[in-house]
Amino acid sequence: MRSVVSGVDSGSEEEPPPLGSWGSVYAAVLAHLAFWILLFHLFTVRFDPPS
Amino acid sequence: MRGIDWAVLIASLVAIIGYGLYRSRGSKTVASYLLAGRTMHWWVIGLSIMATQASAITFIGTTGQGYVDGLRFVQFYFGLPIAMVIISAIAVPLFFRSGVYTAYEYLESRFDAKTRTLASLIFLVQRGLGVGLALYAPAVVLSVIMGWPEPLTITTMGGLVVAYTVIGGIKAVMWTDAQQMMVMFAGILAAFLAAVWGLPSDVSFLDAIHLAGISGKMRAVDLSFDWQNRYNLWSGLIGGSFLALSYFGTDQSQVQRYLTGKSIRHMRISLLFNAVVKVPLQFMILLTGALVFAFFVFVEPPMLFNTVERTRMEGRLDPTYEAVQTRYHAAWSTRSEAARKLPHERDAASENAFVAANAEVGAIRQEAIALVEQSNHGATYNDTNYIFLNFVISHLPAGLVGLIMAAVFAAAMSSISAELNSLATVTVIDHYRRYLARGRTDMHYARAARISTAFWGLYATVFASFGGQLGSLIEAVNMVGSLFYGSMLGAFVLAFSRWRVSGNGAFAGMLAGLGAVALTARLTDVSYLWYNLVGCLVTVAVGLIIGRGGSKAAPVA
Repeated sequence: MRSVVSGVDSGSEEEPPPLGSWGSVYAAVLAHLAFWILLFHLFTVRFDPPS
Repeated sequence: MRGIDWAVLIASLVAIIGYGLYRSRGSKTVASYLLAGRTMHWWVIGLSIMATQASAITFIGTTGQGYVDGLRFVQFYFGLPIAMVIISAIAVPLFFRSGVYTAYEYLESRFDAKTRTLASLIFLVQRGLGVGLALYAPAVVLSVIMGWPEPLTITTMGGLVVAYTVIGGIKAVMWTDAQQMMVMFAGILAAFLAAVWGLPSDVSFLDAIHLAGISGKMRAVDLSFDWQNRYNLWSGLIGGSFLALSYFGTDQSQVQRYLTGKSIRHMRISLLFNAVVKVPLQFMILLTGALVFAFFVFVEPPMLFNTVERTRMEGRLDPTYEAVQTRYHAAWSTRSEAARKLPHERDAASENAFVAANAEVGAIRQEAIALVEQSNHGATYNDTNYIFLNFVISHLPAGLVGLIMAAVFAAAMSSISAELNSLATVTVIDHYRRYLARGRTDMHYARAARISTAFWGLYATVFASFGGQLGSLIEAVNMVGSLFYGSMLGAFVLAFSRWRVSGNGAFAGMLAGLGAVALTARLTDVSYLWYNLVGCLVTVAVGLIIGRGGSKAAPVA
């Protein structure tokens, strides 16, 4: 359907994901988010005095 | 601005636009003009997505927010990586395989024409109002800072954007976006380093962070939960996820960026690139604002950051205002002396002395603001967006000022060009080609897309030219935008799901979602970040009830 509608079909769907599977990539992205939130929390605990 | 700053600013703009137009040559068909022939690489798409989201007001306003309010705004972005993962996993394969030009076109293939038309009309209203504001808001600030007349700033910026967007289509937009985002990265880094280097020699980076911390500006994560507080961990993770899902998953100005990807892989990586970079980037921008605060503890800042208002107030020779100004100077001196003791005497008494002096400076500034508002017949005065550029213009070395002004122009133009391009695409694909002129040649629609881009560009410039007379309408425009997203997202959740839902169900669900958000906004104090959740849930629930028994989407695979 894609090539019919757009008139262009230069792309491939079959290239492998960067970390073996897309599930691993998504898990890495969410772990990266958790890392930053933890880091910011520690930053807050260290530099924001309790009111 | 000095000669070298002008040279840097003009050279950056010419190089970026020239390169964008060079890369866009040969965009003669609809597919190449609106979707770059689906040939774009992930890094161009990723930078373009980031540049589209980063408007000039985001750039200069976020640093101002870091100065005034500290780091807590970073929590607003915690939902973005979650949304990017969901969109990559579910929406990207469906959009790619359906071969659509617009997100709303997909709604017709899944439901019916009326659902597509409702969603695309909502987009046109919302973005149509937004694009004028995207041009007007930074033009006002730049005019004040650079001393240019507003119409000159609006026509210069508007004219440049419209020209390259009309000529080059989405390839020009995305290639300029990518270069513009790199200029923004350089500008942010330069401002950060300049704020650190501008500190007195006996005040270290950690001392500056400590100063900002005891002033309440280092609260990056707030674990408490409050429906009315838009910046805490929970509203960021949950409300922010729904907002980001709506914006990146249903707004054509963003969807069109990744529809240009040459494969599902490129589309996904472009989104995940944003998921990884955006949160630390926003933290750095806010931290730059907090460091500018620390800088102004040691170098006296103006009492009012809006130069035009400050000159006007000083020109009135009002003894009350002059007395406030004298007290402000004395309070700043006291605060500065208290701050200079802190690196050497970090005890409770010294900290309390600084906190008290800082509160006094803030209170006197509020008195000055009240006088400005009183002299303006009660009109609200807010100079948050002027703080950062005031710092840049007054305290940064020659050359760096030009680079940061180029970054501000880049931020403005990258957002406006993407909005013009997407407005033209929806106008032509979802309305002109769908209803008004079916079965014409490809060249005809490509020409229509160029004319439509020029129309929206002219509209944005005219809207921005009258921006000064719109007053509270501008706040209304910002408010209106947040009312629509939830039900749009709900319609796409129904479309992407494996539930059996009819077109009538999706359409009724969207109307119910819009109504629910309007009622929530009118009758409750719930923060706007939650509107998207309300609109989405109501749309899905009503859609499932009314539309049960309809068709279901093809599997994602």
